[in-house]
Amino acid sequence: MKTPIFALALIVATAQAVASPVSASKAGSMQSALDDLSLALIDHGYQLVKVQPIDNALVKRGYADPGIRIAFVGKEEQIQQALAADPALLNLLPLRLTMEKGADGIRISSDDLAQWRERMPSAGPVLQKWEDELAAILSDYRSIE
Amino acid sequence: MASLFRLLLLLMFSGLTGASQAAEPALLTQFLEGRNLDQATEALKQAIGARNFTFVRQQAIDSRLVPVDWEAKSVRIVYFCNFDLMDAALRRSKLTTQIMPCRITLIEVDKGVNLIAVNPAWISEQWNAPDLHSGCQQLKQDYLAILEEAAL
Repeated sequence: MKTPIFALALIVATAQAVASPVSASKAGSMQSALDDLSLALIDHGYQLVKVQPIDNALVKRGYADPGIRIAFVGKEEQIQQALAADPALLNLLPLRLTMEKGADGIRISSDDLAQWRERMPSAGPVLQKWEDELAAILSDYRSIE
Repeated sequence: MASLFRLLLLLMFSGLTGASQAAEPALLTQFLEGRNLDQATEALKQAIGARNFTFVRQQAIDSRLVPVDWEAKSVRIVYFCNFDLMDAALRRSKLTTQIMPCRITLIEVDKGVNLIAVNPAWISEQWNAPDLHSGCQQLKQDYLAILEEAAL
């Protein structure tokens, strides 16, 4: 009985691991989240390329505030890494982080790179490297006081 | 015990179904023969406007990652959006941020410019949300229309 239950748990856990983007949450304002994210990025050799304030853009035009901003982040060598692995990866650069304002603070999450890994297995190591770096950045973001 | 195995089979079958739904191409492409990057960008901006989308900005692929003088001259990104669609999509699900803002990558080669977009209908396949997928299918059609019009 234990074996099928373990197998079931493994399948569910694997499915969740593949489908889940990297994310981190903590209390604070959007501005403090951006400040902390910027520090975490620098510590990992990344640059904050651009912040797309979707919240401001929609509110300015009379729509409801969705509490969403997109941070574009990256580093120069990722372009060479993409070209070497699969030029289609250029479409992922600069990498995106979604910043979402919630009741408990700001949640930052990456895009789901697993889908790209499945479609482009040869680019898997590069995508895994980027995902690992984003996970480390978001871990630091979460721990910055 | 039997029901547990049925559940296992169902889960495995669901996985296979998910794989078989990968019929959507990951990328949407168009080649603009005989154009340079600036000409292709201009054609793209006009096509974006013609489809009721708003041009947001353009940048080199390595913008702000290298000094301005060193930026890549052959790879450019154009961002655009439709605020009505953006508002409606965000009201339905925050998952849709993964396809915002709209983006087309332009790559200049010897005989023209490649326009490449990530297919939103491919992205939405992973969400397991049919109501969102239909909206992404429509957005895919908008992308195709923009790419086609830019090539005219």
